[in-house]
Amino acid sequence: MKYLAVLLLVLTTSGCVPIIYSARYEAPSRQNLSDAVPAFIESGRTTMADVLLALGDPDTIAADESWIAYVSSYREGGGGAALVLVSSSSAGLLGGAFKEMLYRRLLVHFDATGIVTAATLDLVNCSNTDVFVGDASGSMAPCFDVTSTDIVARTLVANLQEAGETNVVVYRRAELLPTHQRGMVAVSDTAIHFVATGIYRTPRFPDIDIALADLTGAELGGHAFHLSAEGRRRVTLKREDAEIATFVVLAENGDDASRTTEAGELVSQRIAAVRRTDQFSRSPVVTPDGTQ
Amino acid sequence: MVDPLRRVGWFLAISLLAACHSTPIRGQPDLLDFITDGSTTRVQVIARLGEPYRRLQASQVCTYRLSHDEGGRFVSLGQGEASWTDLDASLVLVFDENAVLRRHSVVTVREP
Repeated sequence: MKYLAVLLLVLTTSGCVPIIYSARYEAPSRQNLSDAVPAFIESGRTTMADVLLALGDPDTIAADESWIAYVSSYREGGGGAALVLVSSSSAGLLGGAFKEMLYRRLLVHFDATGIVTAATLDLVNCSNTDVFVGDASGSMAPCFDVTSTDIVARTLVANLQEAGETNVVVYRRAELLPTHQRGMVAVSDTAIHFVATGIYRTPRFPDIDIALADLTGAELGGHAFHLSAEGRRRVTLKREDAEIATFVVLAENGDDASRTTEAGELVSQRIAAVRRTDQFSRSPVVTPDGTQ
Repeated sequence: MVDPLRRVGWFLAISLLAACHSTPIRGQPDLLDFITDGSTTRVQVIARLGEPYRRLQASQVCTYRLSHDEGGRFVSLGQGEASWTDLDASLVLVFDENAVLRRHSVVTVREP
């Protein structure tokens, strides 16, 4: 009877409300980009200093300073609906809404002396989704990567391939423990690399390059996904009994444990393959007549 | 005779309560007035503004991220890369090979 009364109360006081998003820049976004490459930027003439003096500090910069990126996130509009749930003790929303976004990304490449070699401006229209459940709200993974990790990853893969590494798999969002330094993990047939991203202080966090042949294993540790940092699943790279490095892979959908497990298993497989090859190359060659 | 310890205690309590009462003003209207092209050095800038947000081209280009309140501008790290939340401007300083300021600008990155 008590529950029926609560249910009736909830139903009678509930309503659906529209959500309307007005056009404006997203809160973290810069606002000084236009729809085209600024006219003052000329390949072969403009310097990196000229670009920064006109547009300010960039949003992302390549570790080797070969390119910089400026990104703005403009919300053009959007909306949705939510059911307002009211009970005698609490109130909350259940619903969702989409945001029509216009992302601008100005990408400027430089030569070794800091002179512009190319500049492009990308305009990307896509939608982001907000979800409201109870008194909490959250956003799904944004449809555009404002930190330009896609370019960092592409450059990383190209550089590793140029250095002769094969089957490179990149995890774009990872965290090194215990420092919590954000970066990317790249795993090839022969090595594993950690490249720091999101650096805003100097000196820059050094890259970590470890040959798989130097490792004796990758161990999955920690509990299943848990909100606290201490309980996170992690991959620990080991040589004999010593820890070489420990990292966590971060997933766009929040399921860090699955992505970390996937990365750990890949690293284990690659280490096993290297060890098999190593053992094979070290085992004595036996000719058909039995001589070594 | 008032116990000196009690006096210190009262002073601390009142100071802490005053701190809770309002957000301190961090901005200064003349924060960047000391910056002059051709004479200000990198050492002087860092002594006044702290470590730059970013150093580029072997520290020849240094940047700071700026915010403001009713007192004026102040240097802020903000909330990380690609986020200008609570920030509105960028200070860009270009030094010569002798670490003397050659050019600088304050770029409005978002509406205050």
